[in-house]
Amino acid sequence: MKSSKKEFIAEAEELLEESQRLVLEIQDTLATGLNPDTINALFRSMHTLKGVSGLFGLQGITNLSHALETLMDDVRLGKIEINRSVISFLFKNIDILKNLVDEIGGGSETDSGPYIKDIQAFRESLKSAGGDATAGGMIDEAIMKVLSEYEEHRLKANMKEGKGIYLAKAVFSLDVFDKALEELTKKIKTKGEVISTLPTSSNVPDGSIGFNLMFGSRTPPEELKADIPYEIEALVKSKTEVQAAPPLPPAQKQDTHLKSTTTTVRVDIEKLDRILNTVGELALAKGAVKRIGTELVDQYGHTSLVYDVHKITQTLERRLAELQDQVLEIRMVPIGQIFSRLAQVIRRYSRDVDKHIDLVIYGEETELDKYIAEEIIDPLMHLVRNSIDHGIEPAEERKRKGKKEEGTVIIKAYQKGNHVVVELRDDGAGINVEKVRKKALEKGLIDKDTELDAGKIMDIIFTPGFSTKDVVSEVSGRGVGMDVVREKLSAFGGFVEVETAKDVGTTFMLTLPITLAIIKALIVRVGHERFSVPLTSMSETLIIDHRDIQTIEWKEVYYLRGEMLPLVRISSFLGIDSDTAGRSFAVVVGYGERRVGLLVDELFGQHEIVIKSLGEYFKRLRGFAGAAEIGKHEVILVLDIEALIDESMVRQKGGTHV
Amino acid sequence: MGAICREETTQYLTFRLDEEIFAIDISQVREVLDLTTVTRIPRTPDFMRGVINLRGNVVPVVDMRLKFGMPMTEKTVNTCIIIVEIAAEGGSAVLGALADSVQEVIDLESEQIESVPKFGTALEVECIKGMGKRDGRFIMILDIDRIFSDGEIASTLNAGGRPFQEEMAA
Repeated sequence: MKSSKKEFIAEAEELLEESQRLVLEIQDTLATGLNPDTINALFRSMHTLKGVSGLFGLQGITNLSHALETLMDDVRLGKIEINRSVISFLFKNIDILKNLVDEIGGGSETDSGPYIKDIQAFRESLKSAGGDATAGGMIDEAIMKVLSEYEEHRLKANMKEGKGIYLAKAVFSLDVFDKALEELTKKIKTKGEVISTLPTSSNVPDGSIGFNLMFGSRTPPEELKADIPYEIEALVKSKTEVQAAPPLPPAQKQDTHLKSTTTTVRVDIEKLDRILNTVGELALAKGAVKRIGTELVDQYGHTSLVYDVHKITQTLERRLAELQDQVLEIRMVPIGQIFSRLAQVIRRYSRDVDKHIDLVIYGEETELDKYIAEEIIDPLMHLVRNSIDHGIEPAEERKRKGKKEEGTVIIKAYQKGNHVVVELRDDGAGINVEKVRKKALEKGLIDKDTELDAGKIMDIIFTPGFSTKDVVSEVSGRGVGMDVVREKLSAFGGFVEVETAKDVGTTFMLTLPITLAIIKALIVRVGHERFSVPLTSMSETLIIDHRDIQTIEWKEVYYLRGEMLPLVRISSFLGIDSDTAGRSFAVVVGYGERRVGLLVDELFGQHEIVIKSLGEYFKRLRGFAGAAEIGKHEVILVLDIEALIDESMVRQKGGTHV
Repeated sequence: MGAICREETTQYLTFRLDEEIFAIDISQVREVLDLTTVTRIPRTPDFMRGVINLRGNVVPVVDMRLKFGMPMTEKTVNTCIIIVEIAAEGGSAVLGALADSVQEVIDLESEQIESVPKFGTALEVECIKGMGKRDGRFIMILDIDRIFSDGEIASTLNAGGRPFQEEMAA
């Protein structure tokens, strides 16, 4: 595919993403009062999409976005009133556009004709006969004549809301008028809505230009006059002049949107990876310079030149560290980016299955690595769908249980140390422990008298191949099971936990590293080999005297503060020789049921590492998350803790596990 | 086996393994490194000596002597790692090959290359593209794409390395 076309796809996707966000915003503010700026923004993004797709001769997309633009035009002119059905119609058509965009490059193109007819029919069915209340007689005919259709509509809408209509008359010098006008507009926007900006030449000295800004506001005229240093004429009195209106947020909001499109740059994450690599190389070069500096001292003593080298090395060191931090920072994105996509799916999905879901999102501003953010969206989606499918009960059942008819799904993100935690909570029926037990018994995963606590349940539902249609479902057509959720997360050192209570609900907690790029790791030795264990996956280290190791059913265990800790000898695991000394170190990893102690010969302390993939050749080799460079050109293997725990579980279950 | 020689390439890098001289197509050679620390990966076959860090990338290193049934490569001042680029599934892969020493770059005309005798060599015939003759000595021209093909390594990984998934399933 040509790169220009790729660029179009990227831009179109961004526009559609934005549109979707806007529709969501409209939906969210439906009850509390729509912000005309949002509707305008949606209208504009359809317009832009029409424009760019036209350039590429993508007729289907052009026509469809044109039809939607027309629909939005009717909405912003008040010819069509926004309601739930309009919103779902918009969602549907944005999806259709997305599909059309996806098809580009695939060769085939769906005919958008039927969709366009659909939109036209929809428009016709909704168009209310009349416009809004007339501004009849209250506004000067001369002014009314110059207003555009949209401006007239906004004027009427403002009057309908009982706002006062004012005219601010300003005269600016020609060379600075654009800035001054912008400032004035901004100022007015904090008080209300600018309906129209009309240039005027009457009573204006040469070299200047006059503007009449018509605006609607609830702020009392005296206050307006005090705040806005221009002549203000009241055209229509506010009906609620007594109560001071809260400043409206819209103005500011629109500014930030405009800004973001002009100051952001889209960069392929791979390019950032490459920069990070180069930074790593630079660090090595810096190491060499530092070494040379030390050698210079040995050879020539502390001359001023040697001192200069030393000084410049230090500067280099600091700047490099900064550079590294900055590159890492670039990779960070607010998690809200994926939440909004998720919200979209949830809303649509809940409509599909006919359940009312109250979606609450917290912590959208929490930042994490772009790569991780993209990787967790599918697992999250899967968990959310499960909550809606099986967690939230049908309305009647909820009523019977004395719950609110609307189900609640809370998605919450927050930072916790070196991690970002994403919590997914529903107030549904909770995981049906009896069903899990039955299924697990059938599958031979547990014994009759195994006690099912939260940890055990989690273990079972995340087992590959475990799926009871009643407890957890496969996402239709995707073939993603719960085990994949855990696998996906463990691929980058994250993990998932579950809490559930009957009729109270279920909470999934996803713990993710903030960044993949650089992590802290503990360096351990086993025999002649050294390995690293990501600090994020371990909880503590112990010294274990071999006499304290007990054997229960051929498994080695250690009693840690009264609790049994299964032990795993890394040496026998990896088939290497270890020391035969009477004591070992244990690195405790995992949580709850999945907690094990990894026996190693020696601990070396922490190191910051950059995990590199072992590559295609070793893709079938389990047990290693990758390799990292420490010190001078030395490569050290990073243990894949989740895989080790999995394996140790399998070994312990001794074959009952299939 | 395929073509005995390729008309378009006549330059080869020669290197020594034990007493024998081998050659590989120079277009597949990226660079030659001095031997550095190679980190061994447990549960891989012996000929897989481990991985090195090559400018931020993890590159596997193969001991060609072990691969060809000779004793393991010992470290000497001449020991080096030849970094080669081979055709792999969905693109190319970079790999290091241990050699006792690198000799020279030679030109070989196609008539100087003979087909492989079916006897007298420890190597599987498939791995040799042909025999170059130079100064009365035979030089074995290796088909490194074949030697280091994904399938080859993967199968030995499975045989010698026993990734534990499969072990458990048994």
